[in-house]
Parts: sequence; C-alpha cells; structure tokens
Amino acid sequence: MEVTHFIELNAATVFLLVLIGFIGGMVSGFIGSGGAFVLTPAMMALGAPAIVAVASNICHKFPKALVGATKRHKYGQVDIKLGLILGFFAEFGMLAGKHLMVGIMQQFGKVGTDLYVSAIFIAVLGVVGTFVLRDYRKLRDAPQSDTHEVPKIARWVQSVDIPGTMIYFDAIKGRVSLLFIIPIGFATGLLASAIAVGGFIGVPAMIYILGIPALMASGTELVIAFVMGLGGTFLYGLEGAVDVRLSMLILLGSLFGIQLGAIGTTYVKDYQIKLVMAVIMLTVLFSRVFYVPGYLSTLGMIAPIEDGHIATLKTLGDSVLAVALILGAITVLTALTKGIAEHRKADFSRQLAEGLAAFAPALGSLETGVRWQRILLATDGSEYSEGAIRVATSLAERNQGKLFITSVAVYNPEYATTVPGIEQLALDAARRNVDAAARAAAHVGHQTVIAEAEDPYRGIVDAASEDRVDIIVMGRRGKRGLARAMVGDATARVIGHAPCNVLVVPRGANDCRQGILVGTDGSRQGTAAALVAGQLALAWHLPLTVVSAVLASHNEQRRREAIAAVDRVKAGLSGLPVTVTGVVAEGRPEQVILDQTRKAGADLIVIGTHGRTGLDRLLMGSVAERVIGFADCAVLAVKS
Amino acid sequence: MDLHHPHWGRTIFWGSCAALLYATMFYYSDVILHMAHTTPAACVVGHGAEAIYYHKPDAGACAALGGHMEPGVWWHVLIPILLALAISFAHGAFTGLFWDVMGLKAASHAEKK
Repeated sequence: MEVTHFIELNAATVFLLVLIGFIGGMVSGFIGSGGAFVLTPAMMALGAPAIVAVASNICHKFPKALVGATKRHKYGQVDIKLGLILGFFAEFGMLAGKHLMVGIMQQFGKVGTDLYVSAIFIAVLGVVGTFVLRDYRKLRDAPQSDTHEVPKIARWVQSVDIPGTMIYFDAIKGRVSLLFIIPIGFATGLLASAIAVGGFIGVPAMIYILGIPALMASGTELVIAFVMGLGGTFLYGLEGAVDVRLSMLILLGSLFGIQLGAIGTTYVKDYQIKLVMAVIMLTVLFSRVFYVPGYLSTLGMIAPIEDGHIATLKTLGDSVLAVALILGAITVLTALTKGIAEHRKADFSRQLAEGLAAFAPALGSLETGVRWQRILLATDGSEYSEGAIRVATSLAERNQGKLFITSVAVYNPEYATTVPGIEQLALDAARRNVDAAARAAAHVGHQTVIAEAEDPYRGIVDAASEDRVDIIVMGRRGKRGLARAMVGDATARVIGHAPCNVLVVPRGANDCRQGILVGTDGSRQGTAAALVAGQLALAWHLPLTVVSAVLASHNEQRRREAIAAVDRVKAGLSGLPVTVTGVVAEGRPEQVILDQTRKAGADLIVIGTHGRTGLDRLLMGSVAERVIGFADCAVLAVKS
Repeated sequence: MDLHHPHWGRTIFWGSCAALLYATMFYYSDVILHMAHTTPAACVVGHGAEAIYYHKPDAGACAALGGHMEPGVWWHVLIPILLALAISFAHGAFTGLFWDVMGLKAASHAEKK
C-alpha cells in the first residue's frame, strides 16, 4: 500500500500557489510555452510529490492549450491534422513515460520519481537552455535573420518517400512519412509525462526535422499539448494523482499572468525573449542540482549525507528557484513597463513623422524648421485684418517665404444682372484691400490675388487651393460679449474647408516670439495639434506649454487620460532641445487654455480642429471656436 | 480602469462565473478530493479532510490500520477534467478582458519591434 498525499491547503499555500501560477503564467506567456518547468518544481518545493505535481500541472495545462489552439487556428498558425497525429503518438509516449514513472515509484518510492524528474529536468533544461542562449546570440547579432529557411535535415526528411506511409500536411505544403512523425510524437509524450513540458522536444523537432515554420510549430504544439494533456490527466487521474485544487489555483494566477506575459512580448524584441528564456531555464536547472545529492543519498546510491545537510541543500535549491521566479517576474514586468514607455515615445515620434508627412505642405523637417514658404494672407481691408497683415508679413520674412495677399470680391451673379456695375464695385474694393496690405508687406516677396466668389470663405479657400499655400493667415471680427464665442462665419468656414492649417490673428496680436501653448485631450485632433506645436517650438526655439483640461465632473479615469495626454507629448519631445511644461488644470477647456496662455506668457495657441462645418461644427468644434473667439493672441487651428 | 469601457459588462459576467466555479470547487473540495483518491481502489483511513488514502490497497493491511476499502470508480477521473475545462473557459474569458479593461493592450502588430 502506498500513500498519495495531496498537500494541505491553508491561506499561505493558496496564496503561494496563485502567485507561482501568476509568475509561471507570465513567464509562459512571455517566452511562448514552458511555464511548466517553473510550475512543476515549484509545486514540488511546496511539498507535492513529483507525480502529483506533474499530474496537476498537466491538468491545468490542457484546457489552456485548447483555448490557445483555437485562438491561433484563427490566425492560420495551426496544422490540426499534424497536431492530432503527433498528439496521438504522444499519448503512447505518455503511457510509456507514466509506466516508467509508476515503475520507478514502486521500485524506489517517491524519492525515486523525484530524482527521475529532476534528472530529466536538468538534462532537458541544460540542452534546451544552451540552444536558446545560442539562438539569442544569433538573433541579437543578426535580428533580420528570422525568415524561415528549411533546415538541411528537414529538406532530406521531406525528400524521403516511403510508399504507404506518406501523409500530406498543410504546414509544409508537402508529404512526410509517418515513420518520422511517430518517434517525434512518442518522444514529446515521454518528456511531457515526466516534466509536463513536451514542447521542448515537439517544437524544435517540428522546426528542425519536419521543416515547419516556427510560428506554425508553436501553434501546432498547442494541439499536441491539448491531446496529451487530456490523455495525461485521464491516465494520472486513474492513478488518483490529480489534485484539481492545485491545478485550479495554479490556473487562477496563471491565466492572469499568461495574458500579461503575452502582452509583454509585443513590446520587446525576439532576442530579449530568448535571453529571458535561457536565463530562467538555466536558473531552474541550477536549483534542481541542489536536490540531487539528497535524493541519491536517500536511495543509497551515494554515501549517506546528514539530514541537516540535505535540508540545507534543499533550502538552497528552493531559494534559487524562488530567485528564478522573481527574476522572471521582474524581467517580464520591466520589459513590459519599459516597452510601453518606449512604445509610447516611438508612437509619438511615429505620429510626429506621419504628421510631418501629412503636414508636409505646411511644415518643414526638424532640420529646416517650419517651412511655411507659401503664406496666404486674407484681408477684408478692415481694422480687424491689421494683426493678420502684421503677422503674415513677419512669417514670410522669418521663413523667407512668399506672401500671397488676397481679398475677396464678393458678388452675386443674380445681383450682377439686376444691378449693373456691382461686380466692378466689389472688384475695386478688393483691389484696394490687397493694395493696402501689399504696401505694409512691401519688404517681402509678395503677389496679390483678387478672388471672386459669392461667399468670402469660398474665395479664400479657392485661392489657397489654387496657389497651393502652406498656411492661411486671417483676422477675426472683434465681437464683444457673448457673440465673441462665435468666431464669425467666414473664419469658421475657412477653417472648415481650407486645404491647410489656418492662423487666426486678432487685431492687436503680434508675431509669435514668446512661447507656444497647445491644448490636447489625447484625441487625434489634440495629437495633431501637439505635433505641430512641437515642431514650431523646435524650429523657433520657443518654450512649449502643453495643456489638458478636466472638468470637476470627470472621473478618475478621465483625469488619468488627461495626464497621460500631456505626458505623451512631453515624452515625445524629451531629449529634443525644447523646454516643455505640462499642465493639467480643472475648468472648461477654453478657459483653461486661455488662463494658461496668460500665465505662461505664450503668444501662440495651437489647437486641433476636426475642420467640420455646419451642425457638426457646433457640436464638436466648440472648444477650438471659443478659444479662437476669445484669445488675445494668434491661434493656429490645426486640421487633422 | 475605464468605467466606460465597452467590455465592462462581459468582464464582470465572466469574472462572476469564474468566482462561482471556484467557490463551488472549494465548497465541495472534500468530496472532490475523495473522488480523486478513490478513482483507483483505495484504503480509506479516517474521515473527511482528515482521511488518509492508501492506493494499491491490501485488505489485511487496511483493516489493521482501521480503514475501510473502497473500490475504484473510473469515471471520477472526469470530474477534474470537466472542472478544468469549465474554469479555464470562464476564467480565461475573464482574464482576457481584465487587462483590456485595466487599459493594458498589446502593441499592434505593425508597430511591433
């Protein structure tokens, strides 16, 4: 008679099991598969006999494999036929392995199976760990060499034709003899029965012997793992060795961890994953070495060792294992946080780059500064265009660009027929307007354009399109009180329809020389504005203030998003020669932007706009519109 | 945590399902363990959580220990399998949504590396 005891569960062991599961899952999700080589020894360290640790590990693994296989199948990364055939023969391997394990248990007791499992662990982890380390070096030195090449052995295997045994597999788009499949399946099963990780043989064998692409091999392995896991759980269950509580507690943490680990991989490079894998494997291997003398001594295979020494060695082994686990967890979490931070930065840089491409007509590169080479000044001849004339002239001077001065001769063809000469009156008025502006801009290269249209905005937008200008500079009607909230139809419509960004300059405003402020809420429009503002700040060597507003009614999440939006811009510009200040303040967005502009002493506000008109404009562009309406300085409306 | 996240409802649903399954498993853990131990024939000494199970039992030795023999019931093996499938499904669905709701997302493939 023999006792198969399951470990006692108390708060501490439950916590440890969930934690081990979490860390094991995280490692597993991060390095593909093989968290079991952490889980099996960890369960053994908690006092579970090897057979229970292996059985419970297999039981927690097979449903996970099923879920994984189903997911990967959707992406075409699974050859079900190959997986099922390999799985079928792996079952025989498992049966053999289980008989071996039970035989060892009967012959040498629990310590015998412990030794057997430890020995296989050391051998497998040693070999595989070394291979992975070699792979890491190769990948690190030549990261591009990840294209799939059919290895020499695989080419030979695929060329062998043994009549009556050939099976077609989608994964290699060719036929392979069953005689090659059988030993691979068997060995996979044999290994899995001992250490619950058959993938260590299955995946490399599929890649190097059958010539299956790595991604497909790891996906197909999940099918094998499921078939084997189900069979293994059944077989071990019949022996009464499956402690489902243990399996499910491991699973509880593991599923959280595996998702986190998998997310982590998307933020790091392939060779970093390999390095983590190798380091963890070799550390776990190292931990098992400490247990072996104790096992050998108990079995009488070496001279007896004092119990105290065995206990010390075991503690050492447990500590090394704990270090491996913590190391794994720290590595994955560091990779995750660092990766996310870098990714955000890269993301911003990418947006900056994309933004540059998108705004190519409006913006120059970092080196050449903002290339507003073709500037359209729209004037209506009124006092409200004074600021615009000043700023546009100054911009043309600063950028050594060309100024196009336009005024719109507004007329209605219907009137033109009923009131003879009205057209000429409008043209004369427009001519006077552009001439007045041209006199102010006499010292810069300019060209005057008289636009004719039924509506002022149409004339300006058409002129902008025809002359392929980089920016439109125009004034704002100086309304008072509530009416200021509405920018005035012409300006709003120009912003809505213009093919480029629009700089709106109030009557008294001057050219931008002090500082730039940008409002962002993390939206597409906000980001577009931020990257233009960043470009301007860099090109003009001006300090940049990044502002995001939150309302008192906003929840914690919205507040965090506001902070994140500001941080993203700051992160994107870190390392560049520009002073960036981030502000998240409570209040209505337009009020916050105007207050902060005054506080920062900025004389240019950059704000994103979706550039819609009509009803949409009222619903969505209200912040941009109010800022433009109330600002005392120039406002650059950036179209996204 | 985004309280307006579109997956909140589903996350809570699957989380509750998983919690319920776990609670059931631990509530009946004595029964489940008993079934696991008596999948093969066993000699049971003691009762409930305190019971010790001897496999490959010998009737005489079992009687000497004051235990009683229980014949193996093969289908008990289905309990952990079904439980594992059910919990894995519910908990897997929950954890998949969990990190998403917490605002942690994978870098999209095009931006990877």
